[in-house]
Amino acid sequence: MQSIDIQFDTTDFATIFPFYILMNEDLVIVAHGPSINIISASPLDQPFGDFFNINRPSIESLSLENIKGICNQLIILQAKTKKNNILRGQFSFRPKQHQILFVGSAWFESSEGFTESGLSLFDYAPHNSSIDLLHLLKTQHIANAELVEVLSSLKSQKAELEKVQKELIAISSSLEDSNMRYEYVNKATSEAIWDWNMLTGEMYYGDGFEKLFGYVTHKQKGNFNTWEKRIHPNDLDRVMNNIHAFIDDLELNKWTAEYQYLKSDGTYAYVIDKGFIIRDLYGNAIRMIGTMQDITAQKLEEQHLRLLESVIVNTNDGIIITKATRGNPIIYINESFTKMTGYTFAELEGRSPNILQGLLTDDLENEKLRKAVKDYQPCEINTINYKKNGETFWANIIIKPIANSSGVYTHWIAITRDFTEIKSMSESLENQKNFYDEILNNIPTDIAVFDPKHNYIFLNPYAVRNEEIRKWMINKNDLDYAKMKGIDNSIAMKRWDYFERAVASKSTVQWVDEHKTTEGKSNFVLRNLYPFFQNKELKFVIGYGIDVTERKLAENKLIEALENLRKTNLELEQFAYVASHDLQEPLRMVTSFLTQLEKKYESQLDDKAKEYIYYAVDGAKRMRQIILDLLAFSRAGKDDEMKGPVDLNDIVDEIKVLYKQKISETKTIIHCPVLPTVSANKTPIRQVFQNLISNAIKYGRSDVAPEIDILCEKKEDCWEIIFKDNGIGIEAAYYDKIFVIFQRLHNKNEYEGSGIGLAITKKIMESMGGKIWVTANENHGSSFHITIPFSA
Amino acid sequence: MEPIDILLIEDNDGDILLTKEALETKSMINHMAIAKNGVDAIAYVNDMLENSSMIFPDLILLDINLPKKNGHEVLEFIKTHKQLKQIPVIVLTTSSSDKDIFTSYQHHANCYITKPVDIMGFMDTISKIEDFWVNIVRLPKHYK
Repeated sequence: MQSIDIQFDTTDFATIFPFYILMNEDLVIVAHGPSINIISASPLDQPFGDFFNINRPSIESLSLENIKGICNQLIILQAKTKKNNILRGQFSFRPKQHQILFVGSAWFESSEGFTESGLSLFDYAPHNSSIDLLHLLKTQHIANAELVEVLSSLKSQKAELEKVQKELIAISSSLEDSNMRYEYVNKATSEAIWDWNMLTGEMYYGDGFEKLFGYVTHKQKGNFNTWEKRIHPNDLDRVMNNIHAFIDDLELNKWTAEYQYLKSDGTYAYVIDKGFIIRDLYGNAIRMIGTMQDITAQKLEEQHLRLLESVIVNTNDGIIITKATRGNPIIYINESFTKMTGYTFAELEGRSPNILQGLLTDDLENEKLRKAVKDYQPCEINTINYKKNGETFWANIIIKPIANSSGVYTHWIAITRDFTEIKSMSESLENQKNFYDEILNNIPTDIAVFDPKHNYIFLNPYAVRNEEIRKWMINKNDLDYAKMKGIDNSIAMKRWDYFERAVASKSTVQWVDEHKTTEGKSNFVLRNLYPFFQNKELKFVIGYGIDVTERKLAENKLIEALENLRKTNLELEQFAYVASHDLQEPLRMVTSFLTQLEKKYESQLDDKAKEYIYYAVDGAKRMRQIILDLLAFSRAGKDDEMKGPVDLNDIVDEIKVLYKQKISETKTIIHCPVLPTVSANKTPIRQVFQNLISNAIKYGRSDVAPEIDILCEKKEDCWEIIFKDNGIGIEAAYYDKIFVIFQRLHNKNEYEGSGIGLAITKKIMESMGGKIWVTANENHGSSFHITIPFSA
Repeated sequence: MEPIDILLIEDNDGDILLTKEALETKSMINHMAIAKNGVDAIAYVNDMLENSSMIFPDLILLDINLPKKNGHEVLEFIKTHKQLKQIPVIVLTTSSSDKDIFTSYQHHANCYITKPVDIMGFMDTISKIEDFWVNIVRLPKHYK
């Protein structure tokens, strides 16, 4: 394209081209048409780039060279300050003046744009370039040659225009084709096509919406809201934010989103939506065209796969996948397998699962596995496997071959379960069961378990020896048994009653059953019923019976013996009483009449006769004392007196009064702490204290005054009272003997007494549940210990 | 003070003799009847009730250990008999058993005395009984 150089007056030029811009080689505006002032702030002497953008054609940067390159092309300029103002025109380079001239006019999409721009008709020069030229010719002196050039330039411009026009026609026809194609695509595609006119808000829905989503309202133009409403609430915000952000970003034109879209049947389809945005010259989005693809099946498949994968990953079972090639190299193990065996995937990748086998691995099972692998058969084995650290574990292994889509086995999957714990648990359970079975089968005790309705759940062999009957008894009760046997059901009824009692009282009941044997002997069985409750609900009742025949017989014998003993004792008591009474009578006669004889016939008796009488009387008296003591002994501990609280301090005081004379004669000292009050019969306990204190006085040493220390100690279940004297003491050899009736250690010339006092004391102590014993003191004398139980 | 009539129920001849000797010293006793066992004693009082010529004793001395029927039975008979129960009965026995003492009083014995073992004591006791029941006590009159 040739450039022309026209020299003309600036004023004229401005009249003809009110929108011209003239700039120097530095792209600084040196002159411009008057209308430029209206579409932009006055740019005179300012750099062109500060005021205008070249919207079309696109150039890399604003430079003289680049502008030269687009001279004679359709130029669209946009004012930077007022973006709606667009100038369409051409650049031309004036080499002589080193200037660039832009000649163009304002262009608007609509009349509103024109109004808004603030331009008026006066801002436009006549648009016919020929008239312009004539006007130019009138006012300017232009050489013909130059004119010819201008004309030829015009001509070439016209040719250019024609070419453009042809292109436009071609474009328009191709656009028609394209519309047709679009319609064909719409029909043929399995995707739903939509076309959104963003200026009007109208939205065109393609046939795909009926095919995919069941909406028959297609081709009736909907709007954006129709689409928005059908987006799943869970996805709505995301999709809306996403599309708005996309629309607002002028740089973007391809949009994609995945979401759930409501179908006409009320269900949601997973869709992938892909849109292409069309923007106007200013980058404003004016139209968006897109397709929606139903990916529900794919999505579900994915979810299913994810689920399967998570099962494999999360299961506690160890999972291995191997290739079905030689050696079955491992290509996958899950985490549980690592946990189970200690091997990481890196350690096992490509290796054979044989690595898990070892010496203890069951050969038979292994053989089974090998055969299954050979035949591509699924198989399950239980064997010992080895962990990485050499530890063994019991593995339950299930293997399965996996075929590809053409039915060729390509992989193996093996599921391993560690059941070592279960194995040992079940073994110990088995052992335990055997143990208890052994006990239940051999224990010589009837054991039965009943359900809450009296029916047998369990019977051990001892309860019913006959196995057949034992089996028959299950789910039957004692009444059934009595009926079956045709026997008296009184024992069954009794047991029924005890059963109810045990359940009602929620505690064990016990009784003794008497069974007559065929020989007519009695067998006694001690029965126990124990109701077992769980959460206040009766679960079962455990019954057991122990043969107590021997015990019962022994018990009967004991009762008999006791009865005999009681009778004997009674007789003995009677005997002692009668004997002592009857023996006393003649003795009294002896003493009485001998005394009368001595008294009445004193004058006639010589000394010898009197001495004889003395010994006769003395003998009779001693005989009498013995009899009295014997009587006391037979009565000791037989007291019928009621037990009550006895203050031992009172007892000691009473005895001190009783022996007042003896105590002062012998200068006896009695030390006595505060004594407790005990539960006892007063008379016998006083007898004991009296005997012990009087003994202590009696058996004093001749050279020292008797001194008695009474001590008292509280023991776990009794009081221990100690009578410590400083008397003559007792040789250890006689510690036991002194408590035996009529045992005396001294001649009666030395110490009086019948030898019955300590025997009585012992008898009393024992009858009240206490004890008596003697110990030696360190220096002199003895200590008599008695214990009085707190309650007897 | 009028001399009194006594019924002595005692099986032991020695005691009978000693009792007689003891009572003789003061001669306050008009008449002393003696029964040597329980059956005889009951027969005696029955006779006495029927036979108007027999005199009611003012005092009865009763031993416990008697042949045939013992002293308790005799005592019970007397003390439950409408016409006899007012007669004072002194139980005089060798027994010192609590049971005998208790039973005697339960049968309304007027007193219970254990025979002192030695002769002096015995004599003393008898003389005290005599003194008490003759000189101090007022005895009921007998109505047949």
